[in-house]
Amino acid sequence: MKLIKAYVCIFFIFVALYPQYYYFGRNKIQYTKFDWHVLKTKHFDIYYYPEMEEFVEIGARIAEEAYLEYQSRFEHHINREVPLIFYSSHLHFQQTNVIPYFIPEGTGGFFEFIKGRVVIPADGSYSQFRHAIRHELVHVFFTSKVNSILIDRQKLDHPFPPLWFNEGLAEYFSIENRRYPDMVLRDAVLKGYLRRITEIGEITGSYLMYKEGESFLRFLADKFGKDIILRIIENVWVDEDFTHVIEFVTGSSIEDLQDEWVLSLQKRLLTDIKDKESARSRDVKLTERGFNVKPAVYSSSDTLIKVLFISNRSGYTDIYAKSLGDKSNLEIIVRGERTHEYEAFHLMRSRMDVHGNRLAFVTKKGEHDVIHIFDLKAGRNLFDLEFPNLTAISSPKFSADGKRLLFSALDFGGYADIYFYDFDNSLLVRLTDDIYNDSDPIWLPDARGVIFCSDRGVSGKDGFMNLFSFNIVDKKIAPLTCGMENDISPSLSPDARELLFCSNREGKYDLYVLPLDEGFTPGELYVSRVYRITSYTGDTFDPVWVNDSTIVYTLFEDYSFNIMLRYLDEDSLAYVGQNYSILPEVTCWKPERLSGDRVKTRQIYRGKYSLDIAQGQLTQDPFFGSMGGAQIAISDVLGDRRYEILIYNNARTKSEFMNSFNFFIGRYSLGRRTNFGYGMYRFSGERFNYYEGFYDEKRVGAFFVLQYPITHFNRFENVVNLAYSQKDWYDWRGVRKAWIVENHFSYVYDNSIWGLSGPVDGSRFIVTLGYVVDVRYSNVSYYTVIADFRRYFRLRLYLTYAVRVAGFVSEGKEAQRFYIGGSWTLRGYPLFSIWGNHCFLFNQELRFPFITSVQLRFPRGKVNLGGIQGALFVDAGDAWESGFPGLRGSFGIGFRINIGGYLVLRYDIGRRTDFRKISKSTFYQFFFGWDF
Amino acid sequence: MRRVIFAAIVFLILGWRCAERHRVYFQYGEEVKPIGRVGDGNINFLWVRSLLAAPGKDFEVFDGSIVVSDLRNRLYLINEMGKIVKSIRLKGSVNGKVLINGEYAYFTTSGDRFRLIKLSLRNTGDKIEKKVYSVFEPVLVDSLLLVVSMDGKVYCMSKENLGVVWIRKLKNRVYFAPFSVDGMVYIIDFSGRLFSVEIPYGKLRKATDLPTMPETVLPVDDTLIVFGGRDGKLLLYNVTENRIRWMVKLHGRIVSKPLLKNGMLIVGTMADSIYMVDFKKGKVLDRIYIGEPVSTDMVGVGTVAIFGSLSRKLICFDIIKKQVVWKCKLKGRVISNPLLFGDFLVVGCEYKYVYLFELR
Repeated sequence: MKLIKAYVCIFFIFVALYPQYYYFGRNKIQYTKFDWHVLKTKHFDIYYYPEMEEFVEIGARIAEEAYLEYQSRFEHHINREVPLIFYSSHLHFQQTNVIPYFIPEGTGGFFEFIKGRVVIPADGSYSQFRHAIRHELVHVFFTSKVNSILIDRQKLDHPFPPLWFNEGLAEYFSIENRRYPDMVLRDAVLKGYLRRITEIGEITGSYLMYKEGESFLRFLADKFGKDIILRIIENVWVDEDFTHVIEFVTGSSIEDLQDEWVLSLQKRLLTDIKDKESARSRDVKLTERGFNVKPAVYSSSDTLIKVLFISNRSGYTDIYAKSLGDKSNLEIIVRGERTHEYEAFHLMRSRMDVHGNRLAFVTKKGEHDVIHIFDLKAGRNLFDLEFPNLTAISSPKFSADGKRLLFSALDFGGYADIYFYDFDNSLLVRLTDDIYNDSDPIWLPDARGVIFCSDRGVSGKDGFMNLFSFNIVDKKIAPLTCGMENDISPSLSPDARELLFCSNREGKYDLYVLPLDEGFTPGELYVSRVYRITSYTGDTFDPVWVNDSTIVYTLFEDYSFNIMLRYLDEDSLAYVGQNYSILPEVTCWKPERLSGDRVKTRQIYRGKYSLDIAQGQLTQDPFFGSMGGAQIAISDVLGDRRYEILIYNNARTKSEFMNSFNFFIGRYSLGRRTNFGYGMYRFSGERFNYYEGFYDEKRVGAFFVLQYPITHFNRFENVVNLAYSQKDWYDWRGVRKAWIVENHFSYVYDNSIWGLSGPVDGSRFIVTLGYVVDVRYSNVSYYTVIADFRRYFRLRLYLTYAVRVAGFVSEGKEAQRFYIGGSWTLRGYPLFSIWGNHCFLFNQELRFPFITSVQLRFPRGKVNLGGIQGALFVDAGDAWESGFPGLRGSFGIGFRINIGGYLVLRYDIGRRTDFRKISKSTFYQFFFGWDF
Repeated sequence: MRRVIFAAIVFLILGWRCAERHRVYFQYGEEVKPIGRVGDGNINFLWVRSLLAAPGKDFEVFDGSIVVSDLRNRLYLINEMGKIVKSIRLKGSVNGKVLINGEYAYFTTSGDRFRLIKLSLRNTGDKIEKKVYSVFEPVLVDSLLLVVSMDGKVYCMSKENLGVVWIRKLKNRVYFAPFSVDGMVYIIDFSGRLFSVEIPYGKLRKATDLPTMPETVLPVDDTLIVFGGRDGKLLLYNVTENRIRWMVKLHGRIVSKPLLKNGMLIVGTMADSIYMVDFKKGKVLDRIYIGEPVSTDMVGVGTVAIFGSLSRKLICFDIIKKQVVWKCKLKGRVISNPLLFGDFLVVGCEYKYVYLFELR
């Protein structure tokens, strides 16, 4: 239909303003106004803001060094300046407009391959920053090299190497000190969920895929020499099947290679754990399923102790409580990620703490993180602590008297330091102030000192975190541990005699104890013994004391994190050595910055535009004729400003050519919290709808759209349109002219979470009020009210009851018509077959998994189609002009299958009803599209 | 009318696509444009032309024409004026060098078809093909052709009819294209072992274990070979004594053949540098940072060395003054080794281009 062209352009508008899905969707909010600058080096244009100047110079040096290294390794040179966009923290990074999608917590950076931009947050840690830069630059080189090879050989349709190779290569080249096998990879081998290379498509995009790719490449390099990787890349043109390329270069079959790889992993890893035991054989497992992390202990009475923890088991991240010694179910204390109050948890980053009845935890709330002080007895939030200069906060810890709260935080410039807040004086005190990544602080008794993790030690430059003590009085800092390992998550025993922490000093994360005797003074060197208390096949984290002889901790095993309870005994202590395995140095290491001669210029960023997309198209329709056109989109390097141009012509004869010229020009500004766009258009051509039939309309006008996100979940939208419209129905009505002014306001709310075929929890709704008037001829005058409410009741983890109630009203001259019917609205009726200027819909659906996964096996391989979802539905609704005609409805069963994460195919079987009779015939309806 | 317009548009699109596929770009310098000085003379740009795919690594000369293979499946003969005299379509892409002996060209192809081909450059109908699973160029010693396959087989064939004389088998796969020094052919396998093959008897002997995986080989007279490795190691091997005379580690990969001049090896690396190494002692005399990664062999012209870079430049370096004389920007990364023949210099770069310069 010609009308689709107009809808495509309107779709443009809303897509450009980025609701996550058309019509509803959460909001990606640009809270912060960044003062962008550009640092030009020999090979990079680095975009940054002045507050993070030091990190930029460090990052620039890392990038230039990596460039030279990769130039040699890839035998390739990038003949353009690579745009690097740096943010000081992950919260700032999440605001980027370089890509329209939401950025998950675990994303450490990305390479946008269309315009070759690299975006990375510094996030307070030199080693993570370094790893992220090196990782993303591998993508830059790899993509450029492969493109160059394929262009030289004129194999322009040749498929790009698979994602596992791309990401595996990035990890392989960027990790400089691989001392121990990765935790997830080890777990996969031990628990049997490691995927072979030929099956790695089943875990595309997952962390495990990254690690498997890296491990396989390491295996190839060990077996054939490091050059094998470059040879594989250089021969990518040989075959479209990448496994054949590997076979061609190595001379071995992929089956033999992956068998050998898996065997080598098993040999090594099984040897590593041959003396280990299973945690479940010794300790009590308190949770099942999902990620359950960061435990805290709450004594609600003398006899009842509860373990609080953060979990994403339901899809939302919540705080749960589990009573010890009580077989009752888990209780949800705080429901997160549904409201602005608890917008997002940092699941793997921030611990919690309890003092008395008060719980301190951190969530993202708007632009910053805030610390919530929650009353566990009353079950409500007491107050929030928010610090405008602090972007990201983690791991709050009460002092023994509860008057102070210690935590680590990232300031605007990206420096991760230790702070405490004094409740009595409402004072924020900064304890450390330097480039080092300080985190996980805990109080010493009498608040005389603090113990925390930091990379300031002698092995910190290589990314290792050790424990340090800080003296509040004289501000001295001294290492408590020192070595090429990560010592993290310190926890002091109730009697302050033992420091419990987790460490990977012996190859994997286990729990260790460091006794603190009277000789220990914070800020002074302290030599002591270290004892290991766990020796498990899984990795242990976040230990917390319940009492002097009991602890809880997080165990990673079987690709999930669970809370475990352990009773300590003397027998479980194993002496492993001293706390200083490397002699600590007095002065800390300093990260190197880019020196003067490699810096070309610094300047204020004023906008640098390049093409996003340019395409032309020609279509021929047997009925409507031919149409040709072009579309161009341009945006700046930060993605904050966009221009879109669409030109097409649908003339059927030469004489129609000028008259049938259509164009659309729009400009959008996305860099601030309020997103807006404006432009002009001319649409002319034949249209059709069931109400008016065929008609010709010419419309010339200008539009203005505005979108103001109130929170991550709700927003206001406004669309204003000024147009001259000329309609010809080819009948007695003649030609209708109108100067139209249109104004639509909408309020959108969406906190739903999605399953395979549609939303499974939460709710979303939209209310729209619009008025359209012809200010010259009074030929058009109508108002429109739309209300669409959808709620998803999670009955069980995989069982959802979904309801939609929607009403559409439009009254006046040339009022809008609404069309229902079809798989998306009223099932059992032909698509868009029922229409009127009044419309009502009521849909109910019980969604459940029908088949968990479908796999088709072919002689040469297999295809996984995911699962098939089922739905029992009852629909009711109608559309009418005047006088409600009575409800139409249908009921039945439906099946949905998600293909590739983007396309959902739907098949509904049922019967129609008018709620007095049920039709005798059964309908079978096949279509596509997500559930409502 | 509608049908006519539609057919015309379709025809135009198809025609444009065909033309694009076969489009050749040719630019001839109407006025000879000097690029820079080379010794006492100038180097002048003559022409640049495009092929159907990027040119291969090495050029040869036959009857005054430049023999160029592209990375797709063609072999070209291009004359001094830049005109393609012959364009021969093959069924695979040429591996490495084309060996020219008399009027015949010997080369292997891979990709769609693995073959050893003997082709007459005068009469392209005169062609013999033999199925050999090889990605290496052949070596000619007297009247015998040596070809090494991917799986470590060494074929000795008659250059007349490509008949197999003998076959030997190595334990490991072959890493580097075979090369000939004083009648012996040398092969390097994937574990870094250097083997020698005696011609014509085919006696296979292990020579030595190389401490680097070489990317480039420079035979010097009949007894010495210079190896340059991807790890930056440069070493001199004496074939008679069967020992490594010296080895130095340079910064950056060595992917191009060094130049031996005045008792010095001039070596370019991927770390944007040129090294001067004493040939006898193996001592690094100087390192000059030039800011461009060296990607091709060096060609000596008087007191200068000319080479290509991945940064799309043809560079002239003065060996005596130890400085860059000029840099000439080309249309793409320089991927073909410059070839000097007579007063001409030909070089190829990515995106299908071949350049000819004149030295006067």
